[in-house]
Amino acid sequence: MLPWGCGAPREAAPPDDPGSQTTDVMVLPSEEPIPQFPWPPPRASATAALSCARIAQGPGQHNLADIDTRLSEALESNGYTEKSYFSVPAGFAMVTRIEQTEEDGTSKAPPVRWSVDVGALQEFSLNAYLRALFKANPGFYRLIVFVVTSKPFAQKKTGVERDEAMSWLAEGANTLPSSIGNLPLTGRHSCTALIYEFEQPGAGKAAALKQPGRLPGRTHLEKAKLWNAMGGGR
Amino acid sequence: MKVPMERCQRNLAILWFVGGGILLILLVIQTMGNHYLDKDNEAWGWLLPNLLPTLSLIIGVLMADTFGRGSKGKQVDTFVYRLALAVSVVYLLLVLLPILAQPVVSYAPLDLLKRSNLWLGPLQGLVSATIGAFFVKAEK
Repeated sequence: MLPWGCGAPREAAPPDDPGSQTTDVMVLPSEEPIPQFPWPPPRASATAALSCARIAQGPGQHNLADIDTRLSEALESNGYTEKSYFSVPAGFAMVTRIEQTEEDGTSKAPPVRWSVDVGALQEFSLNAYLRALFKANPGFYRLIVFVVTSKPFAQKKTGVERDEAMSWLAEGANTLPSSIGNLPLTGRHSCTALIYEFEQPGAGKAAALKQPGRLPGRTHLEKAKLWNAMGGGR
Repeated sequence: MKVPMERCQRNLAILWFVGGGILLILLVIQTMGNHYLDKDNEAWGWLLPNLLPTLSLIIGVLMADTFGRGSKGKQVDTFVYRLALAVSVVYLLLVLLPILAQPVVSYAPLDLLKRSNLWLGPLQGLVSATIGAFFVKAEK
């Protein structure tokens, strides 16, 4: 039986021996259950590799909680105040709230940024009005999952529906448990941003996952102002 | 007070053909821009029934004029003429409104068109009745 199954997030299995950890299965103490992220992760629209060493910053020994702290600071300074945590093999996944972006990947201004449907014009200009009057008015949405793990991983062949991806935020844990946060950061750890990009053809229409995405992962992070805030790539 | 029927008909025809033409051009451009995605049929299915009955009536009268059963020398009551003109202007503006308002409301474009039938349906009856009465009231 595979230790990490596919599909929807699920609660961690109760440990047989709370003190033990194998190389493949992370057993969490029963007092700190944290849902598991679908593993392998659903196929993303784009990915970007971030440097764990740059994210952690500074000399000395770091642990995964340091990565969490730096990621959280970068996210919060750019308006991503909601996130949730999942466990993944030998690490964790951090899920951001789905946001609406411009076509070029720039985050829209709130409150439209956090709306999950295409709305009316927020800032009137003749150009924007005529464009909205005569063209289709598509909505672009982005959800980012940061996966920090020392295990190499591939993605599933199948993607994810927008509703399911949106449910990750509510289903994940609100904080990173110390059992994961205290794991030491090693040279084998990687931080991968999985970008799930959805496009809605027009108001009231269903949004579909873009595969491949319209933009590379790095461009998404740059447009979200996260690339530099997280120390850039490898 | 009476006004010549011929002049009234010409003015009403100009109003309806210009107004209807603007609406048709707007919808053509929206269709070419894929504004309604795969629901173009429904958008046209909304516009045409709102325009064609009155346009058909006007064309019918103009044709009747051309073939000699026209209104030469007939007079019409000024009030009826002005009423028909005002109702036509209001109606055409109310048909235009759900198209022009699409970018600034949160409804899906087609939903807004369908909702506008709430007021356009009854008003179309009024328009037909007014224009119909306008012709019935014509006298020598």
